[in-house]
Amino acid sequence: MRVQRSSGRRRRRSPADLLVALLAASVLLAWGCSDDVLDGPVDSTAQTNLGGDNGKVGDDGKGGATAKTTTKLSFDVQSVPTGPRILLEPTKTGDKTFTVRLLIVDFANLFGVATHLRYDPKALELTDLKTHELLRGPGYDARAIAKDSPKGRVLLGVARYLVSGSAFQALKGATVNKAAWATLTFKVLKPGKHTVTFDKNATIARRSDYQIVDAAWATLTVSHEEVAR
Amino acid sequence: MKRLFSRASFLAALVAIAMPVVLAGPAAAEPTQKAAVLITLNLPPKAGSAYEQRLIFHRLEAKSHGWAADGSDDPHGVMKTAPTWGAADYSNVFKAPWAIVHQDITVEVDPTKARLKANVILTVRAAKAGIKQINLRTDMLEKVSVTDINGKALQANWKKVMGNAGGLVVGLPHALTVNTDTELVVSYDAQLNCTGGGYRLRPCNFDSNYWSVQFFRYYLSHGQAGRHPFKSDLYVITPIDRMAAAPGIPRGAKKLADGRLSWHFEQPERTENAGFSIAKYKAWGDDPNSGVANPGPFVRTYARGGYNGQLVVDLARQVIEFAGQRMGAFPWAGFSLIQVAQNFGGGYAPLGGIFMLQSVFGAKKNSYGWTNLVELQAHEIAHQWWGNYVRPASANDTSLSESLAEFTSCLYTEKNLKSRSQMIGNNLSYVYTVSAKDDRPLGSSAVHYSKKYVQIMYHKGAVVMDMMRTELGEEQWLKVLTEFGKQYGRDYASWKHFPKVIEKVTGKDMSWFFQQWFAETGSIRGQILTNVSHSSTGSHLRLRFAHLGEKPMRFRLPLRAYFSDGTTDNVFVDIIPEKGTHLSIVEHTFDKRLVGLRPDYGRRLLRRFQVLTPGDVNLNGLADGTDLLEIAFRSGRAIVFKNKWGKESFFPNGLWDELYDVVADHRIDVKDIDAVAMAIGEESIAF
Repeated sequence: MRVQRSSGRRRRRSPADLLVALLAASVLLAWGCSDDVLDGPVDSTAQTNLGGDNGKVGDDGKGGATAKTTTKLSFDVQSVPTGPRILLEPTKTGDKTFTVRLLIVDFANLFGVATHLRYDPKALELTDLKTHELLRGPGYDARAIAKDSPKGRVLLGVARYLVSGSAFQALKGATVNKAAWATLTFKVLKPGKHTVTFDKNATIARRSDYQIVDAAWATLTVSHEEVAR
Repeated sequence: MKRLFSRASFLAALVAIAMPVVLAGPAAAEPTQKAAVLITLNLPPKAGSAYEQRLIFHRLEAKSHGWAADGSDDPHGVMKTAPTWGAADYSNVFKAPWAIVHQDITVEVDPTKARLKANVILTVRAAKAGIKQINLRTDMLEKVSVTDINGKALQANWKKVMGNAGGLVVGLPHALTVNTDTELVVSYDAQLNCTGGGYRLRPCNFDSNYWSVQFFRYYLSHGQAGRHPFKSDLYVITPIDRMAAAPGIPRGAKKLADGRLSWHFEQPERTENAGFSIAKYKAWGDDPNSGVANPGPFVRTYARGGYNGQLVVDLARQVIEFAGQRMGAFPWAGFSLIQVAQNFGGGYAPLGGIFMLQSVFGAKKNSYGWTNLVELQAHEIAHQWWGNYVRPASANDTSLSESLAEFTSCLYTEKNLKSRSQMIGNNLSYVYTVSAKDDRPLGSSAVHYSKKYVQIMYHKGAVVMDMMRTELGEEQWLKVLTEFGKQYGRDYASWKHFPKVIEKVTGKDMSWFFQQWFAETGSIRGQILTNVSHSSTGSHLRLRFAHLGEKPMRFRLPLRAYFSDGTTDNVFVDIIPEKGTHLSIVEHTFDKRLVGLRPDYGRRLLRRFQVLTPGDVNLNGLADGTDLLEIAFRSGRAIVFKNKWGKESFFPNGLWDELYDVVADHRIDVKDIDAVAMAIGEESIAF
């Protein structure tokens, strides 16, 4: 009998998992990503049983065991160490599901930021899309937009706007040390390596003086593969 | 009014007064002549007399009478070619059979009663035989008497003609001798009415600080020629503790027998514009009588104690240099900037002098008041070229004075204050406050009768001149203006002369531009749709402009292109309406990937644009986060404000662009942001 895990359930990690995770973390550190250690866990080697409890995959209920396989959902986050940057913070939430938080880090005088986030809609399904509050401040409100249109191209943007004071005044930007811009929830539709990446032709961050901020934009690779146990 | 009204109001007033007279012909303007009394004038004068000396001077001077159509100062050349006297080379101007050669004007005022007393020695000269009567235009006069130069009374009849205009008919004892100067002495009293009103500058003022007269015709005008400038010497009588200031070359003061002072101002150029002011002035700048040669034209400021006239002098020199480099050398010996009462309301620029309201003389550098001073002063100084050097031939041509002066001022602030706010403010003022009902063609005399005269003549006019800069390029347009000055300096010109000068300088036929912007009303209104396709080598733009105005308009559209690598490029596309349609389609290929467009950046066109694709304010074909950014940058900008009683007022805001006023309520705010947010994902339709 097959029992599907709910994607929100906490999975117990095996010692082997932890070992591999430590190795991966050390690789990331060696790559120079220590500054990008994220709030949520980046379980780059998390393995998920697609077949059911105890890794019994393919049990047809008739007692005839098939080949024992399991799945591995891993994330490879290309990131940058310093300077203004937009990061992707993946978190595994289920066997085939994960969230990605977009984080805005180390911006001074930020007025707004916009992008197209690309993914392969045949491989990933965007099941939820939320934006968060940021860039507000005295005299300023902010608006964020997010729309998956068409599927595979998430149109994102957030900007502050003047709500009080003189109509002739100069604009001011916000200082952002680290803030969540949006959270996207994905479901993996098929095995393989899938990228979640910013379209470099449609990304822009501007200061209050309309100048472009030279920011780094991260790329996320999601690996989802079946492995034999 | 920002400009606070310079010469236009005066010109308009003159036109309003003069036109019926001119159009009706001399007979209609002349009071009925009573029985002629023959008096023998003392001509020729006694040999060696002072009168003869003056006559010789005037005769020499008269040889330069008329306007040099070729820009030459050679008086003999002018005499050989000048076809008329009144306005030598302008065929449409009435040709007077006699001319005013010179006026010696002595004025004194009674500030307690706003009364003026004047004595004018008028030198006239006949161009043809048989002139036995001189018809003069005046304002309201009292106690008029006319004598010959020796004090013998002449027959004179002054009569109110209409409004504040009067006519003075002088009967001569015998016909004027052709090409010979004759002097008459006219003296009168006048009660001045200093009440200002509407958009006009205050005509005169008498308070404890300033006694000034700007818009009262204390001189005498030719009754038969609509335009008839003359050389003059003005003598202003003041108490011992006051100084007089007036246009022209200040020649100092002489003490009169009664202890008062007589201040002399020589006006060596022919003009009808004048004015004077009396106050406890201090003078700054150059003294043309000091014997020290100035490297350029003299600049002198008269301001009361407590004001810094030197700043005004310094600024004036900068403006002269600026305009001189771009529009031809300053045409006169110099000029004076004269402080007058605050209630004057603005600036007025006769030839060789500028009157400006009190407060601008107190502006501190780089303050808001300083910007006002720069705008006003640059405008008035520009009138030395536009309005005085090149003079509007008729009431249809006031744009040659006001629009070009305001354009010059805007150009100065753009280059020197690094801001196009003045030009953009003018642009918005016309586009948003002039309804079709009040609109009149810029090049028509009807504009003087519109209640939106200022918005059309000053504001629209300056932008129209700036649009020509966009059409031709700055360098070529300034060459055209310089050439225009060369051809029509010290002459009367019409805006209709521009196309030929442009063709001469640039080889381009721009007659369509003058037809569209001078002979017709309106501005550009349209809806923009773009299709952008990308390739490995760049992007291709197709832009469709749907003309929404009554008439499709032709214009050169500046486009700022934004590329994915963060760079920008400015290009121009010509929007030329296709015959029989209201659509224009243009294409342009960029060698980089295009991510956004801003049409008419810096607002160079008189226009209102809309975007057809909902939310796609950056015209890249898709409403997305980049559009949200664009509109957020404009949020909080408004051109209409409500006061606490709910009344709306218009404030031109240089940061305004209606492209981002998606909800179209004259405010860019959260409603527009929400509208863009709602439209996210919309893509432009293919065409």
